[in-house]
Amino acid sequence: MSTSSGYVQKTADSVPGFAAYLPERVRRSLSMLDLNTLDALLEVRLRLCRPVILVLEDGERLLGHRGLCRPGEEAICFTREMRDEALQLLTDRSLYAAEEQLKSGYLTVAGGHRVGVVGRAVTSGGTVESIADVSSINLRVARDAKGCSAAVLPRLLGGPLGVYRSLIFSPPGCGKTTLLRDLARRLSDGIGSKKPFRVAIVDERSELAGCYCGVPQRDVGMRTDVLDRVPKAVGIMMVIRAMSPQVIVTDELGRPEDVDAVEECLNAGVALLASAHAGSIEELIRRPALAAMLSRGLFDRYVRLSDRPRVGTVAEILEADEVAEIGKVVQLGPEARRSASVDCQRAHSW
Amino acid sequence: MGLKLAGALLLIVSGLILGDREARRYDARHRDLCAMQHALLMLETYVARTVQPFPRALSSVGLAVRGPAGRLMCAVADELMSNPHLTLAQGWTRVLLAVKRGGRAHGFPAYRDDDLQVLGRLFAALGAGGRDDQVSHIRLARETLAINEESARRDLDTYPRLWRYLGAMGGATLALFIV
Repeated sequence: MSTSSGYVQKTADSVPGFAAYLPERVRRSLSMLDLNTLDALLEVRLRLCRPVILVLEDGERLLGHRGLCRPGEEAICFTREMRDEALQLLTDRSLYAAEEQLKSGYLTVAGGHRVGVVGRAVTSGGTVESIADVSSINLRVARDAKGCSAAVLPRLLGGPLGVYRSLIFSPPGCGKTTLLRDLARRLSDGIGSKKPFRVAIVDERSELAGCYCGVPQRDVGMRTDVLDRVPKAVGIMMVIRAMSPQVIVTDELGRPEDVDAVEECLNAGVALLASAHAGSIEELIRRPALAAMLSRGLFDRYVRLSDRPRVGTVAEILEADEVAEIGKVVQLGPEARRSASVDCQRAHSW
Repeated sequence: MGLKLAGALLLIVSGLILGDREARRYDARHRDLCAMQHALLMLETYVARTVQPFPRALSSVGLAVRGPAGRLMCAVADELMSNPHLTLAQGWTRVLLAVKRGGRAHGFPAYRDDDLQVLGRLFAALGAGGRDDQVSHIRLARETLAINEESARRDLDTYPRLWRYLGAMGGATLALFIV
């Protein structure tokens, strides 16, 4: 089954929000960009002693002193002073308070924007203690795509729990997190005349709700509780005990310990919406932890996303028995796979 | 004659008031430097023991410490909270400019330039370092202010009395000229 709808809505409203975290010179130049460019802005990449690069929907451009770099014009160079200024602004003038977050290599700032930070890792006993001498900063501009789950949601509603246990999968950058967030919001706020659900988000990397100082920066619904920055396997058990949710939403399953947590969740009568990295069902089956979940029948629906023709395209929605069939074929080998002629051409644009 | 006597009395009283006001500045400086050290000790505790960012820590310290030290901390916290694109050093500079322009001068008259420079150097060093680094900067500022306080305490033995005498004598001298 395929459904389609372009769902990446662009707003320039978030620009002043994220620009406040950038050094003054970059901020000033960004303010000179036209609205269309700001709409298309996905990332701001700051690399020490190198030019500032803007990642737009249609490619990368250098940032000049007065907006985008024109031919022959010098780009803004990201200096050490600018790095120190950016680090202060990104950490609310308190790098010491963000050291714990920085160990994971990223920060979440107000507005839900995610900031990747790399430099010299200070390690002790094989674990990262802190990041020193920061060399690159990547600010990913957060965008909401409200309503992006409209086409897929009806296929996920039903069953004894009211919501089918569903796994959304795709390669990175195809919109899994965005779709999960919108599903959480819709289920939490209520869909038409249907009763709303108590939703809990287990947000290991602060991507789904983008919590900042305990407040979700993204609209995840009025009946949604967020457990932030906790490993999924632990977090799922915690929210079941603490918040008695009807639906748990979590991102990027794939570790061995996730299997038991997902099983526990389903045995507790709680629906689960989760995501995983995989380009196809075959790839999903080749990942041991996910294969274990598939073989135990932990999910009722499998939603595959694609970035073609655009990010967020629902390529197919498969039911558990269809996936089981594919699983058998995959285990039989390539010859049988060809003869089974799995229909992978069902992708349509939303 | 009555008018002259009244004028002379007025001059003597004015001299006394002026002298007393200058003398009080020495008292106030010593007291305010003590309060600022206390504020920095609290700030150090916030940095060492909590993950509160500086704007909130400064605000908490400002509300807990009375007098100009508290107001100064609150002013910097307000500046930072209302302008998220300012660094700590920029926030401090703005407050200092406002103080010098007279906008908030009534709040902290006792601090001298060398006291404010210590705080300026501190705010320039805060914000982009690790916990230990920030604590050592705060400690250094506190110790420098302790030296300033010691000097203020020594001044306290001499100058307030001197200014009170000067005020009274100046007033009396002028009164003599009138009469």
